[in-house]
Amino acid sequence: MVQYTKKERSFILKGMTSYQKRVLSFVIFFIAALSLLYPAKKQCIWNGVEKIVSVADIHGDYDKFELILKKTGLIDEELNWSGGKIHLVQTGDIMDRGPDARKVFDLLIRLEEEAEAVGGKVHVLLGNHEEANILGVAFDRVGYVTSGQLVSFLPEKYREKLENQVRENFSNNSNSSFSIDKELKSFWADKIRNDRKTRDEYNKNFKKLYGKWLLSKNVVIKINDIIFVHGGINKSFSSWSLEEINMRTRYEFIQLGMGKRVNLLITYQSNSPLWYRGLINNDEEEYKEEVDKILEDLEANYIVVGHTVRTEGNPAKLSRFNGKVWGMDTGISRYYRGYMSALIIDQGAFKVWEMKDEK
Amino acid sequence: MKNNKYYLSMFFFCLSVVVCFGSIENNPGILEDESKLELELYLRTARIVSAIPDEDAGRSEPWRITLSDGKQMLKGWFKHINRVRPHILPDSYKYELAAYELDKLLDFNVVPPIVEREIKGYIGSLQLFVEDCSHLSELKRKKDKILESEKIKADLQEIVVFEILTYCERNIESEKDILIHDTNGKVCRVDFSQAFDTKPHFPPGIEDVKCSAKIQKSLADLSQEKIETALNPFLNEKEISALLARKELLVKKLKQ
Repeated sequence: MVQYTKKERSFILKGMTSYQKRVLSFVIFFIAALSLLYPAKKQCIWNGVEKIVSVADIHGDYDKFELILKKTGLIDEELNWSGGKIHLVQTGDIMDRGPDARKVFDLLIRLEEEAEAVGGKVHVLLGNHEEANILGVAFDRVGYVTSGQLVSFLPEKYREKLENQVRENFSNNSNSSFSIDKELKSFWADKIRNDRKTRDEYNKNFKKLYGKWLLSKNVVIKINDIIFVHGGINKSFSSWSLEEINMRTRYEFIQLGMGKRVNLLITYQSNSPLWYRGLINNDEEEYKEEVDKILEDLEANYIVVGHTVRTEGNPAKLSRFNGKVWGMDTGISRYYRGYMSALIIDQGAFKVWEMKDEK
Repeated sequence: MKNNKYYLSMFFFCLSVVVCFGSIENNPGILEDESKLELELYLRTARIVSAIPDEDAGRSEPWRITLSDGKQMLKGWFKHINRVRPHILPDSYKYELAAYELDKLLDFNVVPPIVEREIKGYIGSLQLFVEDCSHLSELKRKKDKILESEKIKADLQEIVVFEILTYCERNIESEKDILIHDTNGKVCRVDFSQAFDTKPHFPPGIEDVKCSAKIQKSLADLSQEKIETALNPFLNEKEISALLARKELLVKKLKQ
């Protein structure tokens, strides 16, 4: 690309007629607008990675996530990255069902930088619950947005104003059999269900705080010969390149975020990589050829997914199709009452780390 | 004595469970005209025994409902999401109700009985769960012989007409919404929560359209007034006018 000095650039502009300048500024504006509408390419394939740790659906359970990271050696007691060159893959669904998605986001944002600085990597993938929040439809389903999550993403001033009103009413009504904490929880639960204004405030602030960061995330990645994705990849999507899947998702989210209609190929589609459950629910014998074809299309040997809760407990059962598919959603969060787990892939060898009954 | 009481109460508990579950019947003649009204009444009035959200059942996350009127227990699906157009991500139980009304208008008999009902404080659609069915996608995959039946072939072709009217695209995924009864071969179509797009043309992928003389007549008799009267509570003006446009195209196509 030709590089011009500042002087040269001003000379070029001076030599232009006002019409040419107008055309040039229009072209620049047009390109800038296009770059906003059409997302940039992001890396989604890595090779030569020695060790990978993959953690599935967290659903707002910060405490358990922190413990998993500590026990798998990714962070130290001060919560700093201690994983060196390890790649951490969180396969989506950090949000909903539990209270602390924001704390998980903040930890991951810091760890991204710390890992990068020492040659490691933190990959945060998008799940269907991130999709629901990005698109502002999470409130439509019962139990997605909890009081804790609502409060954590509301604008500080808005939250304070409403909470002060509740406290004031509470102190004026000494007969209340509730504690103030219970009163607040019940107040926010009612807002989740019935108050459009509060929902709008949440959606706006959520997008403002984490929208850009989440839109920079991939839906599917490949590290060495392993595909990582939240729901799964089926026949319809295995013919797409990973880059196409990620770009298309980003494009649809951006368009929808601007209130524009778009032909939905991925967003809110039951067979999309964010929602598909076939790799976990389909019969192994019947679908083994299909899985082989999917892997062949993707030029990979393994797929690691979350999304579909599996609580069998026996690590061997977490893998399917002769160890080619790993379903790692063990219901980690308190909501699902499963158990903590992580998939550790060390120089190509798969090992499940799990911990039960940890309070 | 205490122990005896315990065993006695356990016995009656077990007995009641056996009696309850023993009375869960396959949906009796789910789409027979005479039973439709009865089933609608049942869906409206039967006691809700349980309501459990089913995450695995799709994006609308419907609730699995068990109902009882004291005589029989039946199962149903409840959907309460209500994002109607012009929302950019439409998904509404009202479209389910609209599809059922249209089904009745045309005397199609492909949509299982469905009513509007409030459950646990949520208003939504409660549809009868169709027992003992396989979906078209799976039957095709297994190359099931049932698909060779001329009657089923004709029924499947006729369903395309209903999919055009409701603007439901036909693909591998949507074929999971076409259910064929394992024993009587009755074909039905479920899941219209994203239907009734405002596009005034056929959904993509539709080439051949055929239907019985009975349905052709129903279509020809289907006036704008009838559609508006039946579907106004569920669809907006644009959705209704797109449906009318598709109906006109369909009538023309069938005449060819």
